Amino acid sequence: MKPAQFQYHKPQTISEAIQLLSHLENARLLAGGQTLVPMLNFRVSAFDNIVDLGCIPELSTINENVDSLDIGSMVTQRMLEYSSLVKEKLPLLSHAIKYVGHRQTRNRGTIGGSLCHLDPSAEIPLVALTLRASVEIAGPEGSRDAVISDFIEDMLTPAISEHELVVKIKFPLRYMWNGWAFTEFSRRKGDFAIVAIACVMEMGTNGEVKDLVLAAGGLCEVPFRLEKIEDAIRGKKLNQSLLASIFENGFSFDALDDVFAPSWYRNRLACTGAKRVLAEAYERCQSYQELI
Amino acid sequence: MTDQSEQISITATFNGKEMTAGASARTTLVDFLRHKLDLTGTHVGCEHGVCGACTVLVDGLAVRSCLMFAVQAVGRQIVTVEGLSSANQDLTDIQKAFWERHGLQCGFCTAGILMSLEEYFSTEGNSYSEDEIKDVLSGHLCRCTGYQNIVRAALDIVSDRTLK
Amino acid sequence: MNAIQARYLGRRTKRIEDPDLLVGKGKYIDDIKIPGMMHAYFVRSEYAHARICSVDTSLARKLPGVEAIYTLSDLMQVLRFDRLPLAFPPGKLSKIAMPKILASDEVLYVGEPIVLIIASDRYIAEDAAELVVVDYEELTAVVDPRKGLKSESCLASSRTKSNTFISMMVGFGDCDEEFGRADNILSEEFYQHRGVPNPMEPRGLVATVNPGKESLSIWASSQLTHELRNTICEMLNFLPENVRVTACDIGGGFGCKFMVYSEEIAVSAAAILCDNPIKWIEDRREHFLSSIQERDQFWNVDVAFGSDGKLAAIRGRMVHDQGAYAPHSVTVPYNSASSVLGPYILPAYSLDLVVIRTNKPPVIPVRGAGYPQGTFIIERLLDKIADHLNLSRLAVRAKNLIPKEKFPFKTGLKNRAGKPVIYDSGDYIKCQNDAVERADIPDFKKRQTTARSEGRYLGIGFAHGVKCTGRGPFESATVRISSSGKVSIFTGAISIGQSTKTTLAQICAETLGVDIAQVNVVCGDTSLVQYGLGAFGSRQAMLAGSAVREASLIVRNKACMVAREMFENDLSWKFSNSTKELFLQKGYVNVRDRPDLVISLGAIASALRGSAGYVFPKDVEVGLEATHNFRADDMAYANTFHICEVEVDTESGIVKIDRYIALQDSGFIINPMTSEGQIHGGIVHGIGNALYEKMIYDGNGQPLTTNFADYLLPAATETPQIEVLFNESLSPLNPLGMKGVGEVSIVPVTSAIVSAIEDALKPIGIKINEVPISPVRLVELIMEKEKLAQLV
Repeated sequence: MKPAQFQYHKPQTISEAIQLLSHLENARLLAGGQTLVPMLNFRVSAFDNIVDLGCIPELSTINENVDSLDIGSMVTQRMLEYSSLVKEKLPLLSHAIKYVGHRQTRNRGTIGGSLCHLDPSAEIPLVALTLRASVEIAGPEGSRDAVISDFIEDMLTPAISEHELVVKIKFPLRYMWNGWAFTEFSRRKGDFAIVAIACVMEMGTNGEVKDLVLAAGGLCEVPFRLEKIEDAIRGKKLNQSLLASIFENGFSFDALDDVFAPSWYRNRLACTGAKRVLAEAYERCQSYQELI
Repeated sequence: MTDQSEQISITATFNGKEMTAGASARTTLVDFLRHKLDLTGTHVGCEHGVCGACTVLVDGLAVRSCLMFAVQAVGRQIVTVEGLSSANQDLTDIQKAFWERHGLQCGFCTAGILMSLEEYFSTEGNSYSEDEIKDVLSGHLCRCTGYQNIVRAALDIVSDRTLK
Repeated sequence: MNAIQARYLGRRTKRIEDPDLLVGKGKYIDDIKIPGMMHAYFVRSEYAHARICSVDTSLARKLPGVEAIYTLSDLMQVLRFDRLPLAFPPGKLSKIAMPKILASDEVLYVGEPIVLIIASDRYIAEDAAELVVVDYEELTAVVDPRKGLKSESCLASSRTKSNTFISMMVGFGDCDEEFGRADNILSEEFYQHRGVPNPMEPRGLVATVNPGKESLSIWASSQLTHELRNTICEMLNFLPENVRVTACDIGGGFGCKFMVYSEEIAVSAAAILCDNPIKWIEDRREHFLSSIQERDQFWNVDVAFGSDGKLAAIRGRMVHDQGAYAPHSVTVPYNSASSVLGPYILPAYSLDLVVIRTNKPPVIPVRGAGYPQGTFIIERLLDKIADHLNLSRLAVRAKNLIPKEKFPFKTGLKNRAGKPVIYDSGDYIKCQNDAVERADIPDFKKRQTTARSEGRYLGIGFAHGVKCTGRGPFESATVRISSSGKVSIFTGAISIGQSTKTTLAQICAETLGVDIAQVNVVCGDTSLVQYGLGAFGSRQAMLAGSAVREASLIVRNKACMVAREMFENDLSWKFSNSTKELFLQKGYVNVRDRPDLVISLGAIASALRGSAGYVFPKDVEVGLEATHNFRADDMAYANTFHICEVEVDTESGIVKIDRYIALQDSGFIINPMTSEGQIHGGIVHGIGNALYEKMIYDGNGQPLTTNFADYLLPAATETPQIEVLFNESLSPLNPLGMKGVGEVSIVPVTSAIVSAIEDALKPIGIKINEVPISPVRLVELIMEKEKLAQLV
């Protein structure tokens, strides 16, 4: 399973990369290669030009600003996993990253690569959505920002042109999440998730859920927020009877369907996962409350 | 179409030695190691990043060399199974543990696993539990051993090196 | 042989293979590099069933780096036949059961090879493949063998009038009578699927034609090098001495390398035509498409039994998906049919076996060779009998196990050759009891009850397995000591990971009194040992081991004889007639109570090498060596009993295996460490077959699971700790009392796991009659039961 021929380019700066993208025909950016190279090896995809982003140092930094944690698109999943800064500021991301593939995958795979591929069940797009991240995109016209929900256009389709590249992913720090949880169902450890659920929660002084984000990946073509459930919980105390009433009819989303996992099964798992994740996030809120 | 098979010169450190050889852009790192540098200890099992047989160390990190191109290795430190033991080919303690515990049968997946364990035992902050060791191994497929003795060998290293 | 005094035999011995393998010095097929070597790649069918209207290779030929492109008609310049030769007795099946070397007018499965490309490297060969244009006329594919059986109009091959390879009856006794008078009868349907072998190293071959084209050298990742040599000779018209096939280090086989493949013959033919060494390496995708596999069986069975749980009779029908060809005739389905008996006494049995041609890759034995399927039937039936009669599953099994006193036990079955199937030895109830003791079932029951009260589902499962081992008719060994004192073993046995070299070296070293480091084992080199059969059917320890043992004994006796003569001549020392005065130790022949009298084996070997003009030892053949082909016409039956604990998540259907115990009886065990390792591997492969591995085809015969992300193998995180224990019922069929080890370990695994899942979900009361059982399917079964419960 050998790839077809291509011309290899390794720009040393972002502007060099943009330059290349603007004049190369049939080009593709190479980030960690954990998704692209298997596709090339299987020859399900072929490109005349491969532009390797691995030699642009400024894409591999993690910077803490006043209101955001900015993670360069070429920061590897391993760097995220071992970063104490990420663990402190974005515990949901720090935890979820351990579900991405296996250790060898994470040693090369990048946050930007995963985000731009947009596999329906990928953990990183799901977490980015849950944490209300935005992406900074560089192109021939300059830089622009995009909110993650706009960036996630469709299955495997980010809202980015072939002349642009994602420079960094910005995670806002202004939200007062004091609880979080993540779960995923997969056949084996490290496999693609069948369904993954993420949640962040802010609990008020009276034990009510002031705000929350609950999102599902692997259920439909793109990760999305379970807004009706969020609305049903916002402002209330989370208890067994509230959960029972919200989930009593299960889920009936127009979910993905294939020989491995039919849509009813994904709905079932998502429902189970959402219950578990809400309870766990709430428990974390309570523990946090007790600490202060 | 331009001739994209032109050879790119690749200079990197392989098992402690700086070497230069040419390869086309599309030559994978594992093919470069095996067929250009005659380092055939690393094996090809799937070419799509699941079986782990091709795992080598790139700048100290375990990486699937079927998912990297040789040109991406320029300037890096690559270590393969041939580079684990010393110059006179004494076995490392991990290799000895595999020998003692019968941690290999056909041997085809072994080199890749040794590299992942090499990275694991060189990293700080591990819990060294059996579950964690199995997690390290989850990026490798073995059809012969059922993993039992590989786990035992790794646990021997934990106790021999008094890591816990 | 007193095992306590033995240095190697019966002892955990570190492997002689390991020092090289651990440092990357193994020499597998893709490690072979020959100057001028070209690379082969096959263009393969995109359709499951189609007519080939035309093949246009003109554009591909123009690609720089392409050396040659061959279709079947090109290869026929050197091939004697266009199909592999019959690998079964003539008249059994038609010759079109054998695969074609390259498809020419019709393709019968996705992945069937059509064109062979030879290029300067593999990358270019794959580029060229994309430029080959095959014009297909798609034909309807036969995918479900049950539909294939019924249809007379939809044929998997246009050369046939029916999709049935063969239909036959397997059985004995009077089923009608037993069913007529039975207290109880149950009827069940079962579906079983085993998948793709998937050794970590796919197939491969290197072929070189030697200058003058009069001889061929072949390196092969093959489980049967002598068969490969013989087939090459037959297909390409060579004398056996002019084709040398050498086995390399092999990265696993599990059955996929237990066949001579079309690709191997095609590449050998191409080497002659283009006069270059050629290397062919199968990639993983090709392995999914065109390696042999096992796949689907559909069973309908009735069981008649007494109210005490005693089996009276089993009858039924089984439809077997054989794939597009039957290169090993009907071994797998026949084995499945025969293995329903397991370790039990069954008065009568009758199975209608229908073997159907489908448009999928051919089926030949994968590890277990059809025995897991037959075992699943009997083990599931026994669980259902236990449930029906409200008896314990263990008690029902105990009731029916063949007792020790009845061995050798005539089962009533006949094997494929028409010979009666007789179990040689065994103590089945002891295996069951010993494993049960180890499992501490009362403790499990407590944990199960506690878990249920917490809404968690734990279950325990049981299954017996029996497997024929040591398939003959022989295996070969030459044991030779050279003047250096080093010992060489040449054998037709082949090392595919099962520690053959170490096991044989242990036997030899023990017998000759040398250090194991002095023994070099060469497997599967057809020029170094004339006859051999190879690695399959759990046979090599038994047969090659016995051959090594016999040959080593001859060498030992010879060495003693010559030593005696040398002592008497050189030292005027007279021996009494007692042969016990001489013994072998540390590479020398020693004399009891005379530590000053020693002769090295190397010196004896030198003497037997002869020196022109000097006296040659009396009454002995030249060479300190012996060749023995150990004959075996009967099979030894190994058995095992497995106990498995699981936890089932009823929301997701995910099954976790918490504990696994295997109590195996393979007679005398040469190396408990490597045998235990084999058992680990067999069990984990079985876990794959039970829960993870499914080779899925769509309605057009297109394979949907052709990579490791879609076809799942268990990794370390999916495996429990496995406890292995051994009992020993010596086989009377070979001097050391050995039986095979490697396959019986996989035979009951699917049965034990399904038994455990059903036990876990007993409160819900689901019935699992299929394997593999996926989480989705398990949840479906649970939901069906819940719906039914709501209606009541």
